[in-house]
Amino acid sequence: MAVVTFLGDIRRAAGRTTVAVEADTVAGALAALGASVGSGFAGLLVRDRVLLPDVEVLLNGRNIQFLAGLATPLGPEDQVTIFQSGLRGYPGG
Amino acid sequence: MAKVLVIHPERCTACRACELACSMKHHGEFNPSRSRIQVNIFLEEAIYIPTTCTQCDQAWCAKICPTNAIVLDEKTLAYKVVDDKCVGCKMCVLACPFGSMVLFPEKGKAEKCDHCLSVDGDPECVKFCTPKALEYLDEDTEVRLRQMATAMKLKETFKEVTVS
Amino acid sequence: MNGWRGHILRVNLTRGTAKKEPLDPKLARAYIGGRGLGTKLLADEIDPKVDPLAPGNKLIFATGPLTGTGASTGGRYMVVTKSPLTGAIACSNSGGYFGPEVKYCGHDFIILEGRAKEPVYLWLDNDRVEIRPAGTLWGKSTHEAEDQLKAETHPEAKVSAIGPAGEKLAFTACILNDKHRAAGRSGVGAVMGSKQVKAIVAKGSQSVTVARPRDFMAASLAVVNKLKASPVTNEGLPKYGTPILVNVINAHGFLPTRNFQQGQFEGAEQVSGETIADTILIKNKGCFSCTIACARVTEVKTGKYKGAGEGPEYESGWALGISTGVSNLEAITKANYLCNELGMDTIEAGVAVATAMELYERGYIPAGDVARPLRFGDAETLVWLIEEMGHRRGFGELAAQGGYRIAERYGHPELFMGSKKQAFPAYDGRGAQGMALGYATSNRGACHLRGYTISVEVFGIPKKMDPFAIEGKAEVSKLFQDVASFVDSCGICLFTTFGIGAEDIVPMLDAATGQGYTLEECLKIGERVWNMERLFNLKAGLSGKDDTLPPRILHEGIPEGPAKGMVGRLGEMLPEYYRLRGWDTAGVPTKAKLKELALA
Repeated sequence: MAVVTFLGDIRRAAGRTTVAVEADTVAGALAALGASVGSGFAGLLVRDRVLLPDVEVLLNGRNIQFLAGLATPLGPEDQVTIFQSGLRGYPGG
Repeated sequence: MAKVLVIHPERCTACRACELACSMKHHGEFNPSRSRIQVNIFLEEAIYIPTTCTQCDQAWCAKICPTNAIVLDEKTLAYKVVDDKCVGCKMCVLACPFGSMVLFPEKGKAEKCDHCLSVDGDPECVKFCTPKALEYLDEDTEVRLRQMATAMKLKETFKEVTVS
Repeated sequence: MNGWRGHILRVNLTRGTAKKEPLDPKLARAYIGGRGLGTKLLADEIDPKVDPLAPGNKLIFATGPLTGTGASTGGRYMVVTKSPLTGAIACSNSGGYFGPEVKYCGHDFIILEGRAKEPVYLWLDNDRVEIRPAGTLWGKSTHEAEDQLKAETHPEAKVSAIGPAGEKLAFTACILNDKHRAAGRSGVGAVMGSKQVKAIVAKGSQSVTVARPRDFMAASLAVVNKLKASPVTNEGLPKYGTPILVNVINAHGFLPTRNFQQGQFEGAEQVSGETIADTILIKNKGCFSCTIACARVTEVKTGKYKGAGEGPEYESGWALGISTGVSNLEAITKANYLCNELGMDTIEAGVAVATAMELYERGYIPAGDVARPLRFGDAETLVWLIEEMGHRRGFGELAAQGGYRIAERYGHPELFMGSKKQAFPAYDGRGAQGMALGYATSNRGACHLRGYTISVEVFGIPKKMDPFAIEGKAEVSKLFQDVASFVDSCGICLFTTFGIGAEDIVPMLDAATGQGYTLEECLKIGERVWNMERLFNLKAGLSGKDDTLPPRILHEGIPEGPAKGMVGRLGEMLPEYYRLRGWDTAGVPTKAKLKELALA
């Protein structure tokens, strides 16, 4: 079972810090969260198969944007971390 | 309907943006010592309390003013100082028990919070208060909100104790 | 003048005089204020080779044109001097309420020169300036001093003070204002102590004016609304404060643990922002005119680490815990309170403790040299050593000079984790390559604020960059460095840039000063300031050789976790960085670049 860990306010929305999930990909893991955390929860993270802005997902500490995105394969011992960024307009942007 | 400047000290972060907004609105400058609202910071107790004129129903300041320079706005029930009637006698400063009358030495006149009526009736401090420690509400609204907040707490307690 | 008050207060401590001088409008236009104009004044007035603790050094309290205005976060000031820790330029930023009060007394800058014959404090009573004896204050904590000073002057006066650490010339010493806000880095507290100045106290009732009030308020409200709309400045920071970063950086595998020996800390959760919010947090608090309000008002209610104050912030909690292997939040918080009361930079002090712990565990510090064993993870020892350092007694006499001096004394300077003798902050450059470059090239020694590439490497703003990659890091580092230099010169807080950009600040600055500033000019000023700092350092005796990192960072891979095997690829980024800066291969600004920036 892979383990999904929530950081910051996402914990409040989820009502817990970690959830164990069975899934083949990161997308599958996020969808599977609904079973333990509530069906509305996944909608806070993903819309139309795309991660919402301000939501960052790490697989074993690496941002999935540098792996295969939501399609990144998930193994049984893997750690998924979800946090919010939401920094905007920093120098030059 | 009268409006009330509602202060929620528990939300205040002691940033004092209200003092700056006030002095800018009425004097075109940034100067907390010219502000009609003051944040009182009790640092050790971590309690921050903004204070300003509470717009008394029977205002000491209005009653004592010898030139009737302090007048009631019928719509909002706030009191404002009519500048050219004020002679700077400072009786209002003496009379107000809360220290809400601010003296402006250079002009020789008294001032008070008038919910920005002398400008546009849109309180500036409320606009710049991020944690919503200051709100400008119909006088009924805040009372009703507090009643409901109490009722919510009671509701949660009943739920806890009436499980059978 | 608008924005600026138009005056410098020059205090000659040797002669006991205080004189108000006009501020040159052309200089103000070209360098703005704060970091920019403060550094310009210092660079023009002192010999860069001066001994930082000698009377020939100067200590400049530098506000910006936006300090004391209603601009969101418009309460910041800088302390500028030559650092005894690094021998380079020192420029330490602080918030609270002190900066605006200086403007309300009529001054943009306070320049302290010379040395008082005995301890004194400055009392800025609106227009009047008094140099008063501070004999009964010397030796007191910053908190006790503030209470006594208010009693001697005015109950609502604003105070900027040193503690025993600064009085004893500790290189870890800082300056605290409003009890809990620090001009932290580079040992600026020691310079104040060397001049025998305990504090500056200010109470003013004058106004700060702006050139175009309507435009200013419109620009200011726009900034406030943008900050309210950003989840970081409106939710994350107020709720969890900077310690929200603990779990985030730990998950990424570059949270420096036990003096940068590991990249992840098993106790991270216990000292995280989430845990702080659930346990010791009383409420959040704001600095002057701040929309964000990220300060942590905290209390440890019971037990041997009982106490109250503000903190720990991310950097403080990391340096005092995590880097020391300590996971006891209450002990870390107590150590933080002690740093504030005794007047020490939490980053430098924490890393000093971590350095000592590693040296001790490796057997390089003889047991007889220190009253108790120094082991990673030992909470009691952490608190004990911080207190010793604050008073510079026992082993603390040396430890208060910072990790570099400890490591050097015991024959292993390579075990000091820092650059230019200033301790690294809370990101391992091996896991975030932009930070490796930033630490090595920062003009004031290792610093995360000078070029905060974590913004792109973790949070993806304005775009996502792979923390492990080196491509594009030189360019983004230079950009962030120049923008931060500009922001630091205005008098507002760098944290606004989590929700707005330089293009939002320029309208405020221009409406305040009426100078016709454009975004292009402001970014140029930022670059000018950066190069001016560089020139000062070169004249002080530093060189491109000092743009370096310890062997552990350059050659030893992070041993475990997501960033396993990574090293800091500084050598591959530095040449491009120098080129982009318009410097030669030795890191010296070329004549053409200096001419372009009107520095030559």
